[in-house]
Amino acid sequence: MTTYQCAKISALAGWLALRAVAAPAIEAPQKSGDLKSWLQPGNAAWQSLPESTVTMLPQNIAIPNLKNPVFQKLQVRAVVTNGWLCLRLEWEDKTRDAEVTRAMFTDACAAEFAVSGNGTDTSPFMGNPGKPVEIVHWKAIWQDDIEKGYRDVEHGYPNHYYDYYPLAKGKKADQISGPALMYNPGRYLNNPISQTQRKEPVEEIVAEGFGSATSQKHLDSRGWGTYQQNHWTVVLARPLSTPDPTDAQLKPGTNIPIAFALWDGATRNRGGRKHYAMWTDLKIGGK
Amino acid sequence: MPKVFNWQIGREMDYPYDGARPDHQFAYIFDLNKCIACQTCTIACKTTWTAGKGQETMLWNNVESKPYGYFPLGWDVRILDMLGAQSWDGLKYTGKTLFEAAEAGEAVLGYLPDDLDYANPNVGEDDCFGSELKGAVNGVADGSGGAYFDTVHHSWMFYLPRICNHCTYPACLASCSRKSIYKRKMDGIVLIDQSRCRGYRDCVKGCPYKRPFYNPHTRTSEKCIACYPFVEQGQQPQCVTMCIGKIRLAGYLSLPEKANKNHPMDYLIHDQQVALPLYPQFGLEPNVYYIPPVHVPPQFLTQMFGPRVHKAVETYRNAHKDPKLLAAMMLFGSTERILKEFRVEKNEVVGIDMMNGGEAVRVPFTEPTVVRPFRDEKVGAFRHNIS
Repeated sequence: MTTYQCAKISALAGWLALRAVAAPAIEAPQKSGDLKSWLQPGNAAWQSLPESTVTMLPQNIAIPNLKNPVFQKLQVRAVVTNGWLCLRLEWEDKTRDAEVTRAMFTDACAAEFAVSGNGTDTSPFMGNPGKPVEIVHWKAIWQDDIEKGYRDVEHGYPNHYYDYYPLAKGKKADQISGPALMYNPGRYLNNPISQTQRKEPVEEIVAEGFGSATSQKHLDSRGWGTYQQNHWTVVLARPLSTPDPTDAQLKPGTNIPIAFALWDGATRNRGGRKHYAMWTDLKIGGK
Repeated sequence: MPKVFNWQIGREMDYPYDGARPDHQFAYIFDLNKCIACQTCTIACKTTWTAGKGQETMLWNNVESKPYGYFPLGWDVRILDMLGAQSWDGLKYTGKTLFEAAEAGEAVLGYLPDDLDYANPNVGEDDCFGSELKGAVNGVADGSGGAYFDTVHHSWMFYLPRICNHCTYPACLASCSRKSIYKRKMDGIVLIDQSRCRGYRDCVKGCPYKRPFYNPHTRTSEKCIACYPFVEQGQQPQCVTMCIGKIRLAGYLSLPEKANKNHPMDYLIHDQQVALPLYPQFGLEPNVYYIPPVHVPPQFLTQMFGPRVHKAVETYRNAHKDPKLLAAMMLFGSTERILKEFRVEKNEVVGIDMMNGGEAVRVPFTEPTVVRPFRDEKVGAFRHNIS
């Protein structure tokens, strides 16, 4: 680690103290109902749950920074049902950005949990060495991958023309396999970003500091998002307990720290160019 | 921010990471006086590495006309404009590098090209600068150029083949918040880890040469890999060996103070200083070195290749008087093997293989001339000059 990076990390220590002024606690009462219905952002049952407003800030701790923030707040509702924690995130976004071409980026959101520590010893900024965080990350383009099929060259560039791809059976993503993948190293190496057969619009990430975010091989979480009237509403759901040692294990009847992040594709948010929230207390219902 | 030494600008400079030079640095020399923009290098690269889905507009190697050709559009004039005035004091650069000019919260000064910037790889092709009709004064155009070749006087252009520079201080690497980009210790080749990249495109934004490209199919960024599977076997990359104009040479380059005068790369770059880095003022210490085109106005060449360019042009113009310099340049395109030394033997130049130490190639200064008799006795016919 360079002295430059060390200086950045030490700057974090001051931020950790800010947890005391974070948003009021989010309550996740225990409710009945099946997971499938709670996964629907439009499910009317969500309206009966308490709503918390979380303040979103531009990320300016690590390089690169977010220069022009567009989101100030995030509405959060939460519920515990049948051993699952469901989080419903709602925020205003004037444009629906899900297509990715060379110069376009996707809308996205994430919820972060401390894996082994708490809100005092674990940094909300992607965790810190020895104190990992688990992040459930949803992207609009992954939602489209599932709803409409893998978003590909032909969607970003509808009039695009190309004769053929060497060794491929055709031009569609699922027709490019085997030896043809020598030209697509991201797919050949099973980079989770290059997945063309996605089952869920979410992934789980483990991180222990800036630049260390790594997709977990084992996905326990689920999610679903809808865009209506200039608003994204996304449900992130994860089991309270999982078999994955890199996941946070959540216990009913406890308070845990939770943090959030939002990305706006239209203003080229990606990676560290994001809106973040400090740790907030989440009251997990049940016993 | 740590300080590192950049010999191309003659001073220390800021870089986000501590300086750590590789054990050996792979480098290239391109002779711009010989390039005819046939794009054989472009196609050699394209068919070898980027024929797949999502790589349709990706050119790890391209050849553009200067001053009006760019791929992507305006790549160099845009970043030069953003950087502002770039001043030299002798061989020391006194302006700001792209790392030093970075705004707060950024690792490097850069921009992300627009989608359409990739739409016209041959924009400005063969477009000349300056002509008598366009108001050139004393052989120097007045800036109203862009004329097609309407007169032989005072007009100039040249072809600029470009690949990743495998920089000593890569801006792509400095920009990647994922730390997905690494510079290999063994040969200095800069690579994007395709299992770790998440397609943020900060490398595309940060590289002033715009050599990383985003792949919308895999959603990762990809770039020139210096044909490392070839290089690991002692062989020069595809774009070098396929060049029909024999304008390219690739091999390992020493630091200036450790230069070996009998190594063709060291000799041409450090000893003769006839091959120069592209836009050294950016501060990346790029490792593709160009022999500047001798007919181009010195003002333009100075901006592009730095203050050593005048001497380089003079050296090149006098190459015919220097057998050793001529010999080194005759090794271009003469062998697929990477050379570690060369020597002149009578009227031949001998290149020594880097890996096995044997003779890799022997090139005569003058090819033997053979005059065939007018009548071909074998087929019983006269030979007609039909060419």
